[in-house]
Amino acid sequence: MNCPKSPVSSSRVAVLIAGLGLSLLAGCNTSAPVQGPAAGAVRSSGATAPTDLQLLCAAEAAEQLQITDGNVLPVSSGPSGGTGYRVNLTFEGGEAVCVIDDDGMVQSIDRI
Amino acid sequence: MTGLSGPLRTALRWLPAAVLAAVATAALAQTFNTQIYDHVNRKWVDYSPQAAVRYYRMHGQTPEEFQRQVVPFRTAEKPGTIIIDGDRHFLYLVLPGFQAIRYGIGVGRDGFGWAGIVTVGRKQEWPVWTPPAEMIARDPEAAQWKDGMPGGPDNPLGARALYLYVGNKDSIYRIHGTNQPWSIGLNISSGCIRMNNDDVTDLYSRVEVGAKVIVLMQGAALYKGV
Repeated sequence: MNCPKSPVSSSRVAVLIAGLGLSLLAGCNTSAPVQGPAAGAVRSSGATAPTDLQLLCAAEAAEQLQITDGNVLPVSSGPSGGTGYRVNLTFEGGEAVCVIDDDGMVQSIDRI
Repeated sequence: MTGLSGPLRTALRWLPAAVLAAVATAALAQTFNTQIYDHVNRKWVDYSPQAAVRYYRMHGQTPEEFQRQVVPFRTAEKPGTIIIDGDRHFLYLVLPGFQAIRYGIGVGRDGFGWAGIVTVGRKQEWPVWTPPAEMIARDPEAAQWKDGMPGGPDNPLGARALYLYVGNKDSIYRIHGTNQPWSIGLNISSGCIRMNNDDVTDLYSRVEVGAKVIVLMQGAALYKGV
């Protein structure tokens, strides 16, 4: 705030300061409160695919790769792309990688 | 189970036979722990055993997300199948209609986690706890119970135990209750899956012997079964 170049009455300055203060308070009151997790919310320290998506990958791999005993096990997973996940799978005699989206649609199964 | 070479088996003979195959295929463990939101400081912090005890004493229970609840669950596994997600500390019992009952669990601490496909071989109410030889070897306090600790509220296995098998062989791993209910959500056990006694009693009443159990735990030793 620039200092007035000409003398101003003290009461007028007080009003100006009060008005400035109210403006600042009004600005604070109208800003949205910071949203965050609820108190006591928990999470894993690592990012893995949702449990059921990992299993969907395993089931799809068993079918596509014709794993006769059906025992395909997800061994690791993580985010892939914007809204999908990559799930690494193991089974008797091999491994595969599955990419699945958040809606549970398997995008690809690749034997490695 | 995949066999091991003679010299390696000799070197590892102090380990129980059920663990040998898992060690042979072990990957470098990538342990995921639980974090809890500190709303005062607005940040996620480690849910350590100390934090877990404090939380339990303050609230009389573990965090809300570890409470038993029905959740959506998209899977082709048949109802009655148990899915254990050790990374997220949840056990799911598959229900019809793409739902599951989700329970909070405690899992193996560093070096004791495992993953695989097994079955429920048998069940027991208020089971006797007999520490395995390697536990007695590393924990002298367990030696007093070498002949078995009777079932009861102070027993580490708690109210119920589901014994996990590979075919007809005991894997040494169990899903069981606990005398430390604050430990749900932690990586704290010797490999067994622990639940609070109310939850394990509920699960016990719903699960049949022979049920398939799928254990997911990123980077843990693979226990290949079934």
